[in-house]
Amino acid sequence: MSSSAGLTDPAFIRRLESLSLLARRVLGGKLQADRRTNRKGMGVQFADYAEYNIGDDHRAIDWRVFGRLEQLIIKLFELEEDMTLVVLLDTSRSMASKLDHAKRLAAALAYIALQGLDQVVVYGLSDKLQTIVEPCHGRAKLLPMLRAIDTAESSGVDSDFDACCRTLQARHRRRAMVLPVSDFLFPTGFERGLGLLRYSNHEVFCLQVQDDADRRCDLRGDADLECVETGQRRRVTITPTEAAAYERAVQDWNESLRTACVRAGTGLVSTTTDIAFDDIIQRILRRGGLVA
Amino acid sequence: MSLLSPGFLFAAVLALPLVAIFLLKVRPRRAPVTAYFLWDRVFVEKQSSAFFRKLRDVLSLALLLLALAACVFAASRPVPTDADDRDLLVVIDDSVSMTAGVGNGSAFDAAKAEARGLLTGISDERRGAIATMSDAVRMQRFLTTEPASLRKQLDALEPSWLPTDASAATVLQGLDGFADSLRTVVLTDASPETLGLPDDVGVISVAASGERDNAGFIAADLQLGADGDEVIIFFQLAASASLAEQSGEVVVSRDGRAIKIIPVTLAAGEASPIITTAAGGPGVYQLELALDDRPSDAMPSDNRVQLIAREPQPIRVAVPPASRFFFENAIIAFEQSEGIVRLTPEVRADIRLERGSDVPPADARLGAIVFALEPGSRWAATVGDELAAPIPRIVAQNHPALRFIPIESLTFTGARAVTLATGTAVLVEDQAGNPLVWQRRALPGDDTPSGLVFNMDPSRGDFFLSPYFPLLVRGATAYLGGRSDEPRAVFPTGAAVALPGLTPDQSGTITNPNTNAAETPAAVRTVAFGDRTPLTEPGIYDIDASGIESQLAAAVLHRGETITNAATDLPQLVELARGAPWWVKLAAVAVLLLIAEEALYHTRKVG
Repeated sequence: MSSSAGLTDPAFIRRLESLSLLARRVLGGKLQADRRTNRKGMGVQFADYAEYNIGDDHRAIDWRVFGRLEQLIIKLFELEEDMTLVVLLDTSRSMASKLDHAKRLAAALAYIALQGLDQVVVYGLSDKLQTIVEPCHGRAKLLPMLRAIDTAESSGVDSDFDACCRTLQARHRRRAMVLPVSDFLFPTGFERGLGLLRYSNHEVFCLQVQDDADRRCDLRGDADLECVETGQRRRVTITPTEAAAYERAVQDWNESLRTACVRAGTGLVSTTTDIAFDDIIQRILRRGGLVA
Repeated sequence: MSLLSPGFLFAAVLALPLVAIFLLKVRPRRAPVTAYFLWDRVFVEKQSSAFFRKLRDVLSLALLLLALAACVFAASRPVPTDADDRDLLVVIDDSVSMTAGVGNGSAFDAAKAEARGLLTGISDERRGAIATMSDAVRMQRFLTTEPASLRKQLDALEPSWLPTDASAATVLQGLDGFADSLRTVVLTDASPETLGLPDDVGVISVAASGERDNAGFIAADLQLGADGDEVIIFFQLAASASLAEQSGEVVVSRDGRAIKIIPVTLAAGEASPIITTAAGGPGVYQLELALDDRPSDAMPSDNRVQLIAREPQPIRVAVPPASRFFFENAIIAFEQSEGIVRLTPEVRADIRLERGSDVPPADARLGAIVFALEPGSRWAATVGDELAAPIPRIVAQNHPALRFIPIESLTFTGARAVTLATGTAVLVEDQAGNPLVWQRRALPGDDTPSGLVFNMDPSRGDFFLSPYFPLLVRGATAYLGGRSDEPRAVFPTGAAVALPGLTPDQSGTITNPNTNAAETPAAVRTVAFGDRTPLTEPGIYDIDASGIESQLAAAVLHRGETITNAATDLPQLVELARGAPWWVKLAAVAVLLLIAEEALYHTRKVG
C-alpha cells in the first residue's frame, strides 16, 4: 500500500477522525481510560460508598453524608488506568489479498486507542512475531503509527500463531487488550494460541478477515494447488463434489473459531474484504467497544 | 501400401507435435490457495483418484494417437485385397409385386435401401449405375462416380404397375462382354431361377417387411348379355403359397354402386375361375376382393379390377339374293352371340356380301366382301379360267381378317386365274402366284370401294356348310368395319393396344387414369392408326379416336405378381461390400476417438 493512497492519505485519516468522534460519543466522551475496569480506586467515575478506615484518603470522605448521619463514609471511584492495545496484524503470505483491508482495520482501532491516550503496540504475525509499531501513546504518534502499519509487508514461510502468542506472552506480562487481525487459517490451529493469551490474563478480541477466495471454490477440473505460504503443491482434479467439500471445510473451520471464542469469552468479529472497514469499526463500537 | 512407406513414416513424425500438444493440454492450471491444509483434508480420502487421473491421461494420449493413425490410414484410401473394384450396375426390379408391403416396408423400399448401401461405396475408382427392370430394362442413371447423383436418382424411383418379364433379362445377358469391368446386381423379389439371369449377374433377393401374404385377381373379363340388360362376368383369383384357406367375397359394383356380392373361398395357389351374371347394361364395372380374416394383404393393387361393358355397335351387313340362306346364317350366328354384326337391308348397310355376278350396289362406295368371281367383275382387271386345285399360301401373315381361319387348309374351289388392278394387296395366293384372297382399298377419286375378295365359290365343295365360312365372313366384316381389334373389357397392365375405332390415316389420343389429379395432370398420348400404346397403370383410360370417344380399362392381372414369394428369409445370393468406403469409416472412427478424447479433456477442465 503506497503512502499516497494508503493509511496516511488525508481522506483515510478524515474517516479515522470520524470514527474517533463516534468512539467518544459511544464510550462516554472520556478520552483517558476509556475502558472501564472492575477495580476500584482513584478516578472520576463514581462507583460506590464504603466505611472509612484508618489510612483511607481523607479527600474521599463524603462530608454531606457525615453531616446527616455522623458517619465517616468515603466515596469509591472506578479505577481509571492506561490500557495497552496490542494489535497482532497477520502479515503472512496467505493474507496477501486481504492485507490492505486488515491494515485499515488495525490502523483504525490503533488510531482510536491513541486518541484515547491508550498505549498501542502493533506486531506482525507470521512465522514469528515482528514489531511493526513500537509501544507508543499520545496523539503525536498517530502519523508514525499509520506510516509503520502502511509499510508493513507480507513475510514469513508458514504462519505460526502459537509461536507468536508465546512470544507475545513473554514480552507483555502486563495485562493488555490483544487484537489479532487475521484470517485465522492457521494450519496448526488457533486454540492453543488463544489459550495462551487468555492464560496471560489478556483481554482478547479476534477480528477475522477473509475474502471470497478463502470461502468459495470456483476451481474446476485439473489444477495444481500451491500453498501460498509453504509452496507445497498438489495435482488434483476438482469436481463439484470436491469444491463443495472444500467450502464445507472452511465453514467448519470458521465455526470452530466461533465456538472457541465463545467458550473462552473472547470477542469475535468475522468479516470479509467486501465490507467497508469503517462499517466494521462502527459495528464494533456500537456493540460496546472491544469488550467480549 | 506398406507401413514402411514414406507416407506412413512422415505420418509417424506427426505424432511428435501431437504428443507435445497433448502434454500442454494435460498440464494443469497452477492455482495458489490460502488454505492448503484444508484442501489436504478434502483430498485425503481420495488418494485413489491420482491413479485414475494418470490412467486417464494415458488413455487420452492413446486416443489421440489412435485418431492420428485412423486419419493416416483414411488418407491412404485403403482397399481390402479381396474387394471387387469393378463398376457396379444396380438393377432394381420395379414390377408391381415389389409394391407388396405396408408403408415404407415394401419390397421396393427394401430394394432401394439395399441399393443405397451398395452404391454408397462408389468412389473415384469405382463407378455406379442404376437401372430398373420389369417388362423391360430401363437405364435410370448411367455410370458415374458421384454417389450423390445416384442417391438422388434412387430417391426418385417409383415402382411400376408392370409385370416382371423374364425376356427383359436378355438385355442383361448382353452385358456378358463387360463382365471384367462391370458387375451387375439385380435386386428383386422374384425367384432368381425364373428370371433366367446370366451366371455372372448377382441377385439379391428382397422382401417386404410385415405382411407378405397376398391374394388378388389374376384374370377377369366381362361381356354384355345378348339382351343388353345383364352382364356375364368372368374372373379368377389366386393367393400366395403360404396363405391359409379362408373365405371372402367379391363385390361387383357398377358406376360405384354394388350390384352383386359373390362369396369366394381362397387357398394357396390359383382358384377355379368363376363365371357369373349380374343385372346391368353398358358401363364401368368394378370387382373388388375382400377377405373375411384379412382386411388387407401385401399388395392391394390386385384386389380391384375395373371393366368396361361397351354399348353394342354392330356392323350392318347386307347379303346377296343368291345363296341368301347361307350368307344370312353366317351373319346371324355372330349377331346373336357377340353382336358385332347385324343383318340389314342394303340401303342401310355398312358392308355388303356379294357374289361376283351381283350387280353393283346403288352406293358405289359401299364396302364389300366378295366371293365367286365371274369374268367382267369390277374387283379384278381380268378374270380367266378356273384353277385346278390351287394350294393356298399366305402372303400377309397374321392379317386380322384371316385371324381365326386355317387358310392353308382351305380348298378354294371355284377359284379363277385373275390379274389385279392397281390398289390391291394380295393376302393369299396359290403356288403359281395366282391371287386367292386380296384386299382393295378405296383410293381418292376412285369409285371402286374397299373390299375383300375371296377367290372361291362357297357353294361348291360344301364350303357353305363348313364352320369356317361364318368365321371367314365375320373376320372380313370386322376388318372392313374397323372392328378387328375389338377392345377387351379389361387389359392387364403392360398390354400394348391399338386405339379402337381408328381407321387408316387417322390418329387419336389416350388419356391415362388420373389417379393423382391434385398433384399432376394425367398424361395424354397421341396415337396413330396401327400404333400400339402400352397401358402402364391400372384404371380407366379415356380414348378420343377422331372425335369418337370411348374408354379402355387396365388392371393388375398377373399371376406371377399376385402369387408373391412368401418366404420369410430369402437367401442373399451375392456378397458385396456395403456402406461407405473404408477411408470414410476410418475418418468416422477418428472423429469418434477425438470426441472421446475431448470428453476426457472436458472432465480435466471442468471436473
